[in-house]
Parts: sequence; C-alpha cells; structure tokens
Amino acid sequence: MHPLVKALLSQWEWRLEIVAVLLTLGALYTLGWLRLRRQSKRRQLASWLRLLSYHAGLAILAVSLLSPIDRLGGQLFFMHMLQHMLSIMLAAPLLLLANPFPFMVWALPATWRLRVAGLFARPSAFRRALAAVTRPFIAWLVFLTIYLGWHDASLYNLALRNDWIHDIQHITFFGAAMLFWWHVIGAAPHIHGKRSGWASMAYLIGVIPPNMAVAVTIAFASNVIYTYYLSAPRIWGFTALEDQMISGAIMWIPGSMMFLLAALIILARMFTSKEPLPVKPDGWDADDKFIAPGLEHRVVQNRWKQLKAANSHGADAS
Amino acid sequence: MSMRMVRLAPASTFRTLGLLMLGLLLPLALPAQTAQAHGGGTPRLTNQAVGPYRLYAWTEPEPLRVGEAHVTIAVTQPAGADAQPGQIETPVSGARVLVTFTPLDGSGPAIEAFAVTQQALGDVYYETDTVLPSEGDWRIAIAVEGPDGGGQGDFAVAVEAARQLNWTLIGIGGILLLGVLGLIAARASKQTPKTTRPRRSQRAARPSQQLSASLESGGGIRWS
Repeated sequence: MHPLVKALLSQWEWRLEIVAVLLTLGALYTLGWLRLRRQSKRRQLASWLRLLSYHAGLAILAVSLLSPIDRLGGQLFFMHMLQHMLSIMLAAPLLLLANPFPFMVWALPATWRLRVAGLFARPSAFRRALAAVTRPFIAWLVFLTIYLGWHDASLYNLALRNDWIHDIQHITFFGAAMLFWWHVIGAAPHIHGKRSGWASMAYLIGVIPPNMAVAVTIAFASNVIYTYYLSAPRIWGFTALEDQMISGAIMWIPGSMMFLLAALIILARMFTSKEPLPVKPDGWDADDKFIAPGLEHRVVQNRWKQLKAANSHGADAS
Repeated sequence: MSMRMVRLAPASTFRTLGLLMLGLLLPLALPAQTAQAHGGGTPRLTNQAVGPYRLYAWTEPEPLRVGEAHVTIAVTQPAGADAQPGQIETPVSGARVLVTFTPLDGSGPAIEAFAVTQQALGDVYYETDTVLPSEGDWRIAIAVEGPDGGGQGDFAVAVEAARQLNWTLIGIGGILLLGVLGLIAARASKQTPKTTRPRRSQRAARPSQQLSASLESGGGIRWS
C-alpha cells in the first residue's frame, strides 16, 4: 500500500477541544431544529435537508481537523491546502445553507432566546453596529486579506512551527469563510437588506483573479516557497517542489471552481426566478412622459394630427 | 395584538441540556497538552546521518519554555527496491529511540525518555513528552538502535522561563477593542433617521412584545 494511503487510513486524533465544540454545535442545532419543527406548521424552515446540511458541514470540519489530514498537513503542503479547502469551501457553505441562526436561537431557553433575538431586532444598536462592520465589501475584503494573507511564506512557516498560531490560522480562515459565504447564501440574520443577483455574482467572481494569481505563483514557482516543508522526510512519494505544485493546483482549480460554481447557481436562480415583474404605473407610456425638454409643442402638434386623421377617416366612412 | 402561547420544553429538558453542555465543555478546561500538537513543531534535525539511518527531529512548543515539551522524531533509510514510486526514503519502524535532555549549565540531572511510535500516520513517527524543570541552554540527544545498527544525533535548545500572562496588555487590548466597537455602534446609530415620537395611543407594542410575537409566528425577523 502507498505510504500516503496507509497514513490517511490510520487512526484519528480525537482532540478534545475540537470534539467538544463540534458536539456542542451539533447538539444545539438539533435541539433548535426539533423545537422549530414542532412549532412550525409548514416545516419549510426546519427541513430534513437543512439538518443534513448542518451535520454534513460539521462532519467535514471533523475530517479536516481530526483525521490524519491534519497531521499530514505538517508534512505535506498539499494536505494542508486540502485541509483549508475543506473548511473554507465546503464546511462553511454547508453550515450556512442550513441557516443555523434561528435554530441556535431556538435551542436556547425562552428568556435567553428573547434576549438574543432582541439584539437583532430592527431598532437595536447591536444590529446596526454588526451590519456596519459586516457589510458586503468589508466581508469581501476581510476574506481576501485573510485567505491570501496567510499564504505569505513567513506567516505560513510560522503557523507550522507554532501550534497556537496554527490554530489561529484555522480559526481565522473559517471565520472569514463564514463571513464571506454568509453574504452569498443569504442565511439569517438578515441585517444587510437584499442585494441583487448581479451584485452577488460580482462579489464571488471578484475573488477569483487574486486567488488565481496566488495559486499560479505557488504552482509554478521554481523553488520551494514554504521552506518548512523541506524539513519533512521524503517518505510520502513527493518531492517538496512536486508537493508545492500540487498545492498550487488545488488552490487554483477547485478553489476557483467553488466561487464560479456559486456564481453560476446564482445566475441560474436569477433566470428561473418566479418573482413577478414590477408593476408599471398607469399611463407610463403616455406621450408627455417621453417629451424631451423644448419639444413639448410637438406633442400638441401630434395630437392635432391624430385628431385630424381620425376626423378625416370618420368623414370618409360616412 | 394576538399572542399565541409558545409551547416550551419542560424544565428537565433545560437541565439535561445544561448538563450536556457542561459535560461537552469540560475538556476545554483541561490544560493544553503538547502531546496533541498537530502543526509539526520546530525542525531541529533534518536529514542528519546517524549510523545507517537518517534522523529528523522537531520540538514543541515554540519557543521551548519551562514545563512540558514534546519531541517528534522520524528515522528513515534510503528507499530500497520495495519503495513506492517517488519515495526517496522509507521510515524505519521498530527502532529503540532514547531521548536525553541535559542542562548545559549543570543545574540538574539529565532526563531520559524513550520515544515510541504513535498510531497516527501509521507508526511513522516516534514521540515523547517531558517536563523541562529549568530555563537556560539544554542539549537534546537522540540515540537510535534499529535492526541495521545504531547511532546518535543531538542539538541544543534554549529554554525560556514559563509564560506569565500579561494581564495589563490583555486589559488594554480589551478596552481598545470595546472602544472601537462602541465607536462603530455610535456612528451607526447616528446614521439612522430620527422620527417623530408617536402618540401613546398610536405607539406599537414594545420591541420585546413584538419579538415574542415574531418568534412565535416566524415573522418580523426574517429567518429563512
């Protein structure tokens, strides 16, 4: 068996601090889902698909942080890249597709629930402040800065040497991804108002060029950028440069594909949307609405002409 | 305004939930264990010839401090005929790996610990934990006894004093953060247009009443 396959099939590391957080989140969501399902008549909000999506997101996070992928990330750059892709591109959108906010609120006791919901009510200062600091452009910029900034060679090497910096790297990656995908998916709380599909597409597609630029630089570099990986034994069947090329390719192709895929889904939804067309006001096509300034007399002339023509037709007919 | 009664779960549900949360969060209160380190650590030896083997060693945390320290070791051999494509080295499992920590200032006795293979990644790495009792320069020696012979490699490390949390700095940081958040909140609240206060008879229910109604009906706050 190939040593990498053997390593991937080896034992998971059940890091208690991660297991506890994942189990707590899963338990809270399920409890809130059960309560909302009992309350709601239509059961559209607490659907099975949402429950599945949330637990799939948590499962992907568990694979990313507890499986041998995590340990291998310290030995192979492409495994580390894969780990980041799992949490940024898969786990975060899946968790948000499950619309976790109402379920988490409903998992709380009634008094707490009202307090938390009160924070997000329209007149609250917290809501206004949160909306101000998480507006789409800021979210986009924060995501891009964190996502690409951590790929600076010295920062990346530092994260591999220091466990707690490594944890901060993962937390900030995931947090920024949640913030970024929140605006794309439109999960609750809805504090930013509605954005057009075109704006969402621009938001997504705008990430692709900088992502590609960094990924291509990594993939085609002629020397090892992340020198930490030079210290790993070459027991996995890849040289450090091959490892780096594969990592760049993962960031470039599947990384960009996720943004593109999301943009295409939004485009498809825009074209298949059954929203009624906006109602046109009465008399919107009246002549006087189309008058260019200074040509008002033409309308009067046209009316006279039309009246004249109608009269002459009437006379002919009689 | 019509208010539908919310059917709440019995108090025992909350107690169970509370206990569940407490149980799940208990591990967070445990002290961090370097044995669970996952980043790899600071490389100390890379591809060093030790008898018939090649030796790699990493230490954690970075920097090493008085207290717990973790050493990860890989023992390899040049790949033989049975190696997989692209494999330059093959790991040596089943070796006896002894790690000796010696304070260079002679302030105490040397500490010895056997590094053993871990299940993670299929018995490739040898790992050990120890407690370093004093700060200063230390030498870490790794002796390997394997099927094809033995050898020893070593390196020096500087051990720093145990970390003390700088509460002043944390406090200043916290206050600054609160200040920035307050500033943003104040700016955001100024931007909302002021409205004339309606008469008492025209006033809507209090926000908390609106919320309870919203939560019951699913309206008000847009959830989905």
